[in-house]
Amino acid sequence: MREALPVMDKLAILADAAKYDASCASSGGSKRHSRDGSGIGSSTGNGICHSYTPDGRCVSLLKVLLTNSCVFDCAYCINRRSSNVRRTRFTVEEVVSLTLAFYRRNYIEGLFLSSGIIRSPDYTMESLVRVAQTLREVHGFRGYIHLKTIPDADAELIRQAGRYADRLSINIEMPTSAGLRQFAPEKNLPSIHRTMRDLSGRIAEAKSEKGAPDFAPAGQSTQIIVGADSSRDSAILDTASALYDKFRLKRIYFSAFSPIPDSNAILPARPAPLVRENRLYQADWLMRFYGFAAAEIVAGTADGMLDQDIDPKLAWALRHRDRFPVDVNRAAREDLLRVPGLGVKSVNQILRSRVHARLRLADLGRLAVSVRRLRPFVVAADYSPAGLLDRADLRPMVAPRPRQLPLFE
Amino acid sequence: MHAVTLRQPDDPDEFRFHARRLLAAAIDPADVIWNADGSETLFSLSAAADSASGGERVVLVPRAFADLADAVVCHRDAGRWALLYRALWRIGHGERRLMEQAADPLVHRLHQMAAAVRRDQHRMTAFVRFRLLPGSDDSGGGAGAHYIAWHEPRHRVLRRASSFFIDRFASMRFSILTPDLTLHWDRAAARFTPGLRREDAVSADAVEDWWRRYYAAVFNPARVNAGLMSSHMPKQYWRNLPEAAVIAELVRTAGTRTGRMLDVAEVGDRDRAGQPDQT
Repeated sequence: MREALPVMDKLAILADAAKYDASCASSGGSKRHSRDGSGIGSSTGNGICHSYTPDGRCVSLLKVLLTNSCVFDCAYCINRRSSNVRRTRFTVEEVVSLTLAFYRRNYIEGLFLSSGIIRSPDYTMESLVRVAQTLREVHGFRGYIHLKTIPDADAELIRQAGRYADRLSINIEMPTSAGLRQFAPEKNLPSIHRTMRDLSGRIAEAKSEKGAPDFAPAGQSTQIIVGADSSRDSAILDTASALYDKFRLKRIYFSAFSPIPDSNAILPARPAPLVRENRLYQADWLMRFYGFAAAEIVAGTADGMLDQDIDPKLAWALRHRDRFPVDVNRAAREDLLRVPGLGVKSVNQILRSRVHARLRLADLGRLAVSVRRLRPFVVAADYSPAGLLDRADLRPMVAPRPRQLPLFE
Repeated sequence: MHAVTLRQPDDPDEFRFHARRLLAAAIDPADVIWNADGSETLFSLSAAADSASGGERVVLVPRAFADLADAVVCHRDAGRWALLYRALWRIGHGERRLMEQAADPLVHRLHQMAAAVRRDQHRMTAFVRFRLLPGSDDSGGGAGAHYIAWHEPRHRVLRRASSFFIDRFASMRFSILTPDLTLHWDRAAARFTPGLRREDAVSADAVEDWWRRYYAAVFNPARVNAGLMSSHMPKQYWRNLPEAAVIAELVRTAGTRTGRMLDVAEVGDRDRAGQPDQT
């Protein structure tokens, strides 16, 4: 037996072990408050990022593992059985009091608790549920809770998890079943899908029945690691699209493969470019909010890989010039949404404004994100792009000028 | 020329009161001087406007304008009152649906100001950091505990943000200090008092060491991108964020830490070359 670690060292190890999970959302929970002075906490439905680390990622929740011991040996995971990281484990009380101490000081929106698989799925799931239950029932905690769901855990444990948590998630990690077999041989895709389907049914049921007890009101999410295996973007987007359709996932997180300490030899030695992750997020956005199908986004790309120099919406427009220009004073919503440089908010404002006055290019300048990108693709009251769309050098005219890439989330 | 002096720099009701009277007296926006912040004025509200308080001309204010005005009054731009009154004037003079015209330069400007206020309000809910007042009792979140925060918002957003903190921390005694205004919550009622100074707040809290340790641990050095961090968390807020103290060190050592991981991975590749797959 090694000497017991100080709790602060456990915190460092178990936070480090959890950071490869990209999810940090704290939005979508049911609206709650503790105005009556009992318990503590609230959830407004909108997430809050309380801080940002120097990698640009948001810190919204206390994101830790209950333990980093794991019986699985997934190649990409820092906590895999064969990794030589120091192992440790929080007690329920330790996680609960850290969560409350951070929450009272307004550092966090709540807790995102995950765990290595220890002993059995039920044992692991039960440990996670116990933390959430203690926060909710003993301390009246009304902040946000995200729990990792262990595939094939007992139905009663899943029911409890959904009652205490705002969000549940199961990470598939590998975009294809071949990748999963190669990198995470102990993970079982049918069992992951079964559990996602079960969650999806329970979430829908709780939402549709008035007075039914809450079940994960912020829905379920998953994560896909990008660039650890050889999957193309087209395969990743197909998988994402199928997951949204089949299991009504709220979010899919893409995590560019990043080197881990004590790495496994079958992994690439170099990290996947972050821009690839960013382009996948943009494509995901197009599927969820802009009416694009996965196949449209990747059709015509080189080898099923998204263009890394320009965003997928602009790339699609450049490949479909015959669909433009779009008349901002007449076009339907779904056609406006396909115009590069117009976001959902701009489109809504255009639809509201054009009832009162025909919009001119200067008006678009006030409503759109970028007029420069927009110009070749629209007709306005006082403007038409003339031959711009036919020009061979259209792409450099609308492509962003080189600068450091902002990750848009 | 008519001058209006507002007693409070961020009160939408006070603005509405004066604006209604001016509008009823048909006083053109170009003829009004708005003075906020209790400064002395050369002119006083004219008799014409005073006598018009009977309200012969009733302008129904659209809800969208009221919501916008609630936010815009918190902006620090001294021109905010004049801009709001000009919009109200146009609404009352044949442009009932002005608020729907987001591309109108005045509406656009007001939307931008409101957005800046809402962003700053959101940042207050994100970046306020409470510290336990030394000597107050924290056992089990005990009733004696008193939490103090010092925050420097860009705009006057504390009043708007107060319900967020009360909804969340009603069971805690807390005070939020800003240079403009202070909010005290005693677990039953809210009280606003004048602004204070940073020295009036608490300078440390033992839990901050834990928080910094956590913050450092969730940072991934292989993805370092300080510019992206700063775009989300502007530097002006850093001096009141306890975790910001470790940012420089994390950025400085990120390259070496990542290099070490990559070297080990490559050495591992060479060592294992030719060996059967370990998994």
